[in-house]
Amino acid sequence: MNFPKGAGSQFQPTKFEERGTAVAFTTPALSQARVRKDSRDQLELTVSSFSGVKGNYVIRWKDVAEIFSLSMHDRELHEVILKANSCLPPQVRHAILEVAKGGLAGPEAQKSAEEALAEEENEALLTRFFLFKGSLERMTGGQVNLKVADFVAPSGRERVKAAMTDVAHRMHVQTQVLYDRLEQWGSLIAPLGLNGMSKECRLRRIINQIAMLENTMTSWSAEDKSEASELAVPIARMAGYTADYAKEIMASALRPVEVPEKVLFNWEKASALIQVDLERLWWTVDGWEFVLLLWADAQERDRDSQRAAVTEIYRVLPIIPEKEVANRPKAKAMQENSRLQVRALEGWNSGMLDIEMMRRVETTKKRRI
Amino acid sequence: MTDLASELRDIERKLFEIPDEKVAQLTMLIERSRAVVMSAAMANAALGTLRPRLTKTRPPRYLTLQRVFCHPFEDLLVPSETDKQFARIARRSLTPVWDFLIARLDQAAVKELEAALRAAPSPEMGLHADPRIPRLGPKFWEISAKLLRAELAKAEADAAQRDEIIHELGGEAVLADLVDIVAVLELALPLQELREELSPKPVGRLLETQVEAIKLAYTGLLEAGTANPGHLIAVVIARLSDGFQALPIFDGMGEVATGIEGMSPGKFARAMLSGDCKRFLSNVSKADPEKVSDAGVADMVGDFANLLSRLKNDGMAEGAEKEIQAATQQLKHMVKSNVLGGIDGKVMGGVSAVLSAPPAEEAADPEAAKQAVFDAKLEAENRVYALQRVAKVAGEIGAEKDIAGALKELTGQIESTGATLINDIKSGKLNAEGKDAAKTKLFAALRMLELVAGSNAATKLMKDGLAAIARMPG
Repeated sequence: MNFPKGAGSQFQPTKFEERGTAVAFTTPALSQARVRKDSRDQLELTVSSFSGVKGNYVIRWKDVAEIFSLSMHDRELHEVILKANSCLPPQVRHAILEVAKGGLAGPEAQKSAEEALAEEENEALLTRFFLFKGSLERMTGGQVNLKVADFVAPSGRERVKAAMTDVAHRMHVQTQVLYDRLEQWGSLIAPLGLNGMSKECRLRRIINQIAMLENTMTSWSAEDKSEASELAVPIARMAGYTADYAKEIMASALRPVEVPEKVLFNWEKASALIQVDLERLWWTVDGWEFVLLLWADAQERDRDSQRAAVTEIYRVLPIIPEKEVANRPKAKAMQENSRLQVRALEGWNSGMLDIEMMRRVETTKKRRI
Repeated sequence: MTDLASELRDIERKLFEIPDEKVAQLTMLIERSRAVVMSAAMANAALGTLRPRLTKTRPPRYLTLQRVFCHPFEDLLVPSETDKQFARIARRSLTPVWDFLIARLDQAAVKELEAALRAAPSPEMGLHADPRIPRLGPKFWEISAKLLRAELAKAEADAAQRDEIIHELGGEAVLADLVDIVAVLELALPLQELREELSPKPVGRLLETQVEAIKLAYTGLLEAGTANPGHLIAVVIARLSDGFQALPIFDGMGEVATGIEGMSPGKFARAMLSGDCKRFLSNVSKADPEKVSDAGVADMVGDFANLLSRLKNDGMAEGAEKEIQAATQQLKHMVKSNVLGGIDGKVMGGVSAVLSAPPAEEAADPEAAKQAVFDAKLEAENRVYALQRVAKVAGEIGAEKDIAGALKELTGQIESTGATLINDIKSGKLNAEGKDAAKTKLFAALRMLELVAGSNAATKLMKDGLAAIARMPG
């Protein structure tokens, strides 16, 4: 995650998979610890600056509940992730939301998770509609102009069906196959949505907010006089760098929308490329939601809380691993500028969970991007 | 304006939906109307409603000459109902002092200044300080300080003049406030620089650079031979979230002048802090339990415990025993009524709301039923958090036995509810509802047990409950 020069740097992750996915634990000592797979495809947990020293602790996932005094929420989350045996960001996020929906992180987190899941469904529906509409309009040379009502009214549905049959015929595929491909494509890019949609989908919202964080952190750093202001500078820089990188991938993932016929005709190959872009995008923004929510909460608090939040953000800052951005300018400098920060842990080693500290961590679960 | 109250409630409800620009326009409108068509009370009520949003948005305020005048000492203002407090100024003194000053100023010059104020462009939104004030203020502060100092000199020299001034101001307490106002106005310029260093307010943990700036500013005043440098101490303390941080700085200055005979900077700081503490303790002892929430009581108990330890550590508790005793009694009373009162019903209500909730498809109004469960759970959790926060410092108000007893009783009740639930699961009573519903019910009890008794106590219930659910059919 960090690239300090000298001893130990060879153990720093060079790929997203090695960095792992941030897990929204509520046990304060494990907040934003990461799950990844070891060489034998077994899940493991990496905890940074755990005892206030440089370096990451790596623990077998199945041992986590034995080693730490976990909150009930985290016991359940640990179990759900273990059963799913996946450390990919979408799957981990789904596990996080499903567990929060059970109420173990409090009613507000429960409500927020329910709303997030419902919102994702709506976004997927909307994206599929816009993709259908845009693709059919393009593939028929503008002869078919669809409205939402066309997907509901029988006459409209007939029009859609006729248009699709016509296009499928030209592409030498069955209408159902064409329909299935459009459905799959829509589901793939649903977290991003399409350009021009009135509602921004989740990953796009996160990317835009990461970009905004660069400005907010820069201004905050300029007006703050504490040591934390020095930490806000690399946070701002990393936010800008990540947002630019994510926007490039987003553009790449959405470019095929301009040529739907090519994509649908070469579906296997084209969908694999879209899938790669989406996976990279998920990895790129992984961990930023927590950062954004923590900062949004801190902005409503006093200066000391903001400084504490900046220190915590710096500790968990999702740095893009070396090999992922090997060809990009400034990548090396960006990573070397980021160093480990001792976290301000209070009483983590007492063995008992502090309800107040736990509630502070839970605060980010009440909010959504 | 009979609808004003409902309009204010409407604004309050929509407060965070209004765009920043609208908040700025609304603030400006209310502040302008205060002087023309709206009574001060109405304007204050309207601004009070907007205040949470003002803190976040920081729109440019309607600048009046009176606001410019008050700027140097605005940190020292305290509510009107407060008795005269060392180096603090009651809000009620502002209008009489302002009228007293205006009556003695050159009216043509006042009009000229007011015109300059109107001509100055409004600052941008979001600024911590209004840049127009340091541009327009210094000369006005200097003139006002000289003029008011001359009046104070007259009052000191002649008893009859003193009585006249007291009569014009409306009381001895206003005269005492005027003395503090003049002392701060005389320091207005160096204070303006220091204020920038100590921004935004409230200042949390003091940084090394800020400590140095305070020392430098004070030394500067001494070197310049300022008559009342001590009031810089008052402003510094008033800008800090924890004023006790300033004690070592001023103690470290030794026996240099403050402007008050026999009072060193350390003693000045202690007098200021002692006054602030007494005001806090007095507010606590006068607090109306009807108007304070459970979380509010927990906040007060926490603040009280912090204050008490600071007072004891700095040897300042002596002399405030009466206030401490009164506050302790009131807090103990409020903990009993607002935190412990009805806690069984509140906390167990949160659990039973889930346990007894009918399946969504059977509820007459599923959304309302869901909201009712949410509200009950949230109220229960908030009460437990308040209880746990009080528990940490309960010894300070002698409530440790009551709190421990409540926690023990609640633990027993939740464990018993959990055991009954597991028995129901094992006996098949929840089979019709299914595993997911059983899990939801188990988690409700589990969460509450964790909050009340900790994760170790809840772990056993979790293991037993999940094992029973795993054996359910389906």
